[in-house]
Amino acid sequence: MDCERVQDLLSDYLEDSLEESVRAGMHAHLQDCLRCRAAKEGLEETLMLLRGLPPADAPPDLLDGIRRGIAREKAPAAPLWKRLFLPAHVKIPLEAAAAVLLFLLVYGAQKEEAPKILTPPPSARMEASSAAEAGKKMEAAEPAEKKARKAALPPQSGPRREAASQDHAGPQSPQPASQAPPALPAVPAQLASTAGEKIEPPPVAAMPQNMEPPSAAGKMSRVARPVPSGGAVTIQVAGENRPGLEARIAAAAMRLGGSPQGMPDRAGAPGAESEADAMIVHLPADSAKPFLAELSKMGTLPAEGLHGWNDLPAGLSREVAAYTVRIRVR
Amino acid sequence: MDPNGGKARPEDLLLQAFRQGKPGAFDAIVLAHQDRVYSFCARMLSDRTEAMDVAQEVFLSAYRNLGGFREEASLSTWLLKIAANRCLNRIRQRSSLAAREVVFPDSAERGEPPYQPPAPEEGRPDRIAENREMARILEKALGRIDPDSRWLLLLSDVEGFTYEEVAAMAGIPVGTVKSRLHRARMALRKILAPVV
Repeated sequence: MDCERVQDLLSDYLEDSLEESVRAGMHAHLQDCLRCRAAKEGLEETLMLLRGLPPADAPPDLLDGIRRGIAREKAPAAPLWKRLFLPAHVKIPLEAAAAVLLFLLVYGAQKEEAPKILTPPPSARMEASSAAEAGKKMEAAEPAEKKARKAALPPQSGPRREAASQDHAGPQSPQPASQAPPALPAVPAQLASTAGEKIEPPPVAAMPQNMEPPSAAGKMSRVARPVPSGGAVTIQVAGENRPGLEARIAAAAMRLGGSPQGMPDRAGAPGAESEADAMIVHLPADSAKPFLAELSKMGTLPAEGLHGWNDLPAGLSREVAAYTVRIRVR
Repeated sequence: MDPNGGKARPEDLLLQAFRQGKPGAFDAIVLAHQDRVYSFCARMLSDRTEAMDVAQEVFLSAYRNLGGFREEASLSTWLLKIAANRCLNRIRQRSSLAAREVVFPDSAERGEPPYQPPAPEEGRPDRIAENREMARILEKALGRIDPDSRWLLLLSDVEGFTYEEVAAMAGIPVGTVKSRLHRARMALRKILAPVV
């Protein structure tokens, strides 16, 4: 019998629960093996210690704790009204805090609503002259909500417009402003403000000769909010289609509720495009894609010239987008 | 065979009194078993405060369920089984098992009066363990035994339950109880070897 087997059976040996032959074998081994005999004696001592371990005294307050627990279980459940309103020292501060929070919420909501109630809708501030034939036709086809949103667009300030123009200078060659084609429809769409001022129509004299005046409504742009930066698109046309293209683009923009803004400021713009003319168009953001479709009817739109069109609506405003249309003759 | 020669045991009388709703009957049951239940919990959990909580839970559970107690086992067996389950649940819930098992708080460290073993009871071989220091060392060593084996060790070797009773309480075969117990005893001997 080896030591491992003997040590595995030590508990049974000490409890005298082994068969006689196994017990005799273990007895003989333990007579000879000091290590196993030490293990047997150690186990004997451990068992004696365990069996002699007396129970510890329970703490004197154990019974009191049990009595309190039983009393809690026996107590009838508090009625609903008591659970809702008692104990007062907890409920009152909680209810007071809830009342203050409710007041603040209602007050805050009313404060936000007040300007909307007191200020007439922006559409009401528009002059009657701004709702003329062409515009009427277009707007009649649009949903009422869209019309209201477009009419509410604030005017664009001069400096902001300049900034927008500079944003659209892009990689164009430096070109003096005086070299801009005179036929560009310079429609100052940002003369109106949301403070009830009259929206001035653009001067008719500034319109190109070959461009039919967009009527009183067409002169007034619905785009009347500071215009942020936008994208750029290049249109390629055949030479015979080049004359009057700016006017056709401007007319398309105005049909879609936008306005042509003239030439971009090319001062300092890197890269010369001697054959390309350019114009800036402001559009309601949701008219940008229809405008692109209009452009594609007038010429081809190379993919590399569609920079920024995927970022619609562009710029800081979600309502108005400014785009630079570059004209290239094939 | 009834060791009382046909007479009702005090435990049965207490149970009967409790079922009859006699005042003080449950207090008497608690007083009869609280030391055993509490010391089992303290040795399982190695934490006297937690042991106190669990012992209270055990007796409250007994109070709620004594009506359905079928007396197939003795009341002390039933109480210790509840205690063992609750202690094992507590041990499993502990996040830092090892840290809390090893450290058995010294009564001196906790500012409590030193442990005083009760007077030896008849039939208990407590001539060695009545030594206060030895009891402390032994309890500390028990805290280092795996909890699943520790409770078998406590039930079998400290509380004196038979292997069959322990197997019934643990819901495992007798052979498994024996082998686990032997391993736990040898592990305890190894821990105690340097000091005993």
